[in-house]
Amino acid sequence: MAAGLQGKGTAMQMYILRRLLSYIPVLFLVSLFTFFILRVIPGDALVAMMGERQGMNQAEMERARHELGLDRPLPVQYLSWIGNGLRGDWGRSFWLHKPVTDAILDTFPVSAQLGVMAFAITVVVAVPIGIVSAVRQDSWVDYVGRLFAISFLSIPSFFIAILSIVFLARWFGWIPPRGYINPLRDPIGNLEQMIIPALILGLTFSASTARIVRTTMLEVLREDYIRTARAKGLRERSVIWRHALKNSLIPVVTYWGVSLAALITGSVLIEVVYGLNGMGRLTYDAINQRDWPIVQTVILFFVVITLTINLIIDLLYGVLDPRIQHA
Amino acid sequence: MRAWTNGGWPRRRLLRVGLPLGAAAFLAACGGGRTARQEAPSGGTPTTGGTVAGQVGAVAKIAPGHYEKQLAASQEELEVAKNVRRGGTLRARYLDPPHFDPARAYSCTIFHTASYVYNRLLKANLGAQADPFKLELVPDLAEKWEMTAPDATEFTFFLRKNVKWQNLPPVNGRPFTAEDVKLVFERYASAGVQKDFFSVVDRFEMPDQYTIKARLKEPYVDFPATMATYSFIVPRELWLNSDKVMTEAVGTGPFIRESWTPKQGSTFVRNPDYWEMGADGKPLPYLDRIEVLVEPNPAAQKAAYRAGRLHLYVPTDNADGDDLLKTSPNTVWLDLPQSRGGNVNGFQFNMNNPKFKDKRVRNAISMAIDRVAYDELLYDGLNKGYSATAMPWTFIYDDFPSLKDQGPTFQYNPAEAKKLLQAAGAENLEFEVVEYYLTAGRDAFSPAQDMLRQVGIKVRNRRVDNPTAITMLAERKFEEAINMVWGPPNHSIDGWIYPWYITGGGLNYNGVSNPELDNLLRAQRRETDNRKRREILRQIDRLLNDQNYEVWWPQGWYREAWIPALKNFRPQGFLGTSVCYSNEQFTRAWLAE
Repeated sequence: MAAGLQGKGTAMQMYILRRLLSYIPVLFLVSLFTFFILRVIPGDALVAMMGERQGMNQAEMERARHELGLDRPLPVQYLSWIGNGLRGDWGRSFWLHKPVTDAILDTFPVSAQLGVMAFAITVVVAVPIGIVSAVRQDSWVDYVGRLFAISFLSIPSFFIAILSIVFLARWFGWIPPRGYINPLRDPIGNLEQMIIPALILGLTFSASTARIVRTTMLEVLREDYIRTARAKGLRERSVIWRHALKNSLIPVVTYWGVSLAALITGSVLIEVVYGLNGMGRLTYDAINQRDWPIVQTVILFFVVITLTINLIIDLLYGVLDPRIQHA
Repeated sequence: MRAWTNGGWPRRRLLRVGLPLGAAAFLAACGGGRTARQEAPSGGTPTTGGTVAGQVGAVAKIAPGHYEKQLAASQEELEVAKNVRRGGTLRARYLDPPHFDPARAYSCTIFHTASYVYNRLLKANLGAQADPFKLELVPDLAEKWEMTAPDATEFTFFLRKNVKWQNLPPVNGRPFTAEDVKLVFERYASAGVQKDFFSVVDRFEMPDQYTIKARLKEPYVDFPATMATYSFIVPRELWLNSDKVMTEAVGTGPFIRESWTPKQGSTFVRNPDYWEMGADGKPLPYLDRIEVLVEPNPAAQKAAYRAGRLHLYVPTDNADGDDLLKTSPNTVWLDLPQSRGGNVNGFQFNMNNPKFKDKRVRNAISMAIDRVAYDELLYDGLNKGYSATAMPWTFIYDDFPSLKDQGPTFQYNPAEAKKLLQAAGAENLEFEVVEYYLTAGRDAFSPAQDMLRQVGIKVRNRRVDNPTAITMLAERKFEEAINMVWGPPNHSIDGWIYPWYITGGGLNYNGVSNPELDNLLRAQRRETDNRKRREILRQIDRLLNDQNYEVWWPQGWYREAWIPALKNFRPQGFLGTSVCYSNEQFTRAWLAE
């Protein structure tokens, strides 16, 4: 028995190791693609940084280009970037005048907090709505739940965000504080600032999640084992929560994986409207400013996060459904 | 005298029906308003100077809190010593600065911080008592200046003796001297965006620790005005270190930069050792603190204004401004006709492309645009069709000009346009315009495109983002035409025309080369008589309008709204350009509440 468990544990470790090793070719291909595609798109990083260059002669431009290492052949630039990156130096932002890793460390907590709060709201709101809609199919409760889902699916979150700002200011003469307030320093101020954008993001993701929960629950509720559970005389609550919900969660968890990765890597529009300096805004501005070191590295960071969350989701499948073996 | 009111928007016209009598009375009370300011030609630059008192002109009040063109100083603002209140925090918006080196970019983004932290030798008179349409140079770090050679080849600046750098590293409160000026000017002359203007300098001399003399290679009457624009005195301790000058800002100015968070904002606190005295006999500035935020979303900006997190707001159009007045009825909102400002819409032709070498083709394109209809469609008819031109109208006209003043090539004449195209063999003309800026978020291109289609000209637009457009301009890599004409504003009229149109000029993006124009451009640099110089400038204006190296169309007016408690502030910067180039006036502004 113990040997069996040990064997299972080793198999799981091997599975995780294999998955982690698969990061390498993915990251290599993404880094290559990102690096070269950024050089192909029009617009000069140096000119974008300078804002304009009238008065700067060619020699001065070349000198500035040399200072930034932009005058070297592209393969050399790529290898230098990757080589330094593996040693922990991902370069300096042209625009922010600081190391890229510092820029990521400054912005990631903002997006991560927003993403985690929004995700929590999604779970709390979407799962009950989806379950009730499925259990009370075609009742008024179901219609209300579906109306909620359709509404938040159809109205873009940035539009709701702008409306919320406009109406808060118009009716209450108040808007959330701008900039980012560290929750360790001022938890109330931080909550004041984050709760509305998190609600908007959370409700938007709740809409799609609620629909998925409803659909999968409806499918599961028609399965034979549910009928068997009911025939055994189990209470309805037990049938729903212990038997139906757990089995309907696999597609939901898959969707949550994708959503969570998107949420914690930043929501550009919400961050812009609410004046939050998160990863989304960092990336968006960096693309506009041709701040290549930021864009390249942030994309790699996104890839790592997405791969890791997917790995966690794959491991969760085994917990939700013991028939799924990762070995 | 041309009436100092404007037609256009029907609702405004209705409002104005009840105003003429009141306005006339007010004009009389103000001593004739516009005519009073016309006594001194505005086309020239003072060649010597001290403090020049501003003249206050007419006010056109068109709705509660909503003014047009000029807002006279209130009694409270006229009696500063009696009414000024010290303290308070001003909250404004700014654009995220990419760096802080004034030699590397002459951008509004950098100007914000530079205007608070640094001084220049001279500056323009700004604020409630200043005339927004007339350049008046006033002392900054130079307490006076003289043109010491009658042919405008030598200028001497006498510096203040009691000035110290801010008491922060790396300057640590050391005294400011002429050597600081000489060294930074030599840097500006040898490299950087100011080079076009400093290249006329043969050498800077330092007769003593508080005098700086500029000996020029050729006459340049606008040199003092250029100093008022470009002479931010950055300490050598910063600019000798290329990293420091990009990220730090320590000067002799009224505010100390307390913090800078990229993409978020900056905070400035008053410099306790500032050298300039206020009207109350105590050192300036009156404000304790300025907080500037990066707030790119207009809806969020407006919400922030309503919630008191911003004290200034730029309405996107009249409806937006009216909406603001509904919830913030005490807002002061001023509309200013724009000079040619930073970003102007029009067609800028690549003069090296054979399609545009024939003047008749360029004239035909210009004459195919119905500017009055265009103006009504996009800008409430405020300009009556008058279009942006190469140089700000304030330098060459006494009053906001009319479309008629712009000559025959600006008049809508599709029949003549067709004839010209036929004569030039360009009946089926097609060209591409690279497009970036859309004025005030509107599609400024489509109406012009439709008008050109009426005379058989097909124009395609190719939209690009900001870095792409700037790169294309900088490297002169647009094939046929580009719609955005970026350029640094300037207190000097020469700055608006010389580098743009002189053969091979630093801002001559479209390759203009015209010997007659070159001669006129050089002549205006030499002419020390303001009236004669103004006549040369008018000749240049007529020539440029006739040549249509660019085809301009009407521009939106510049709008700025602010809280009524903010006193001694007017948004005009460089003769009608935006406040982002004029925020040094916050040194003398105060918050009444």
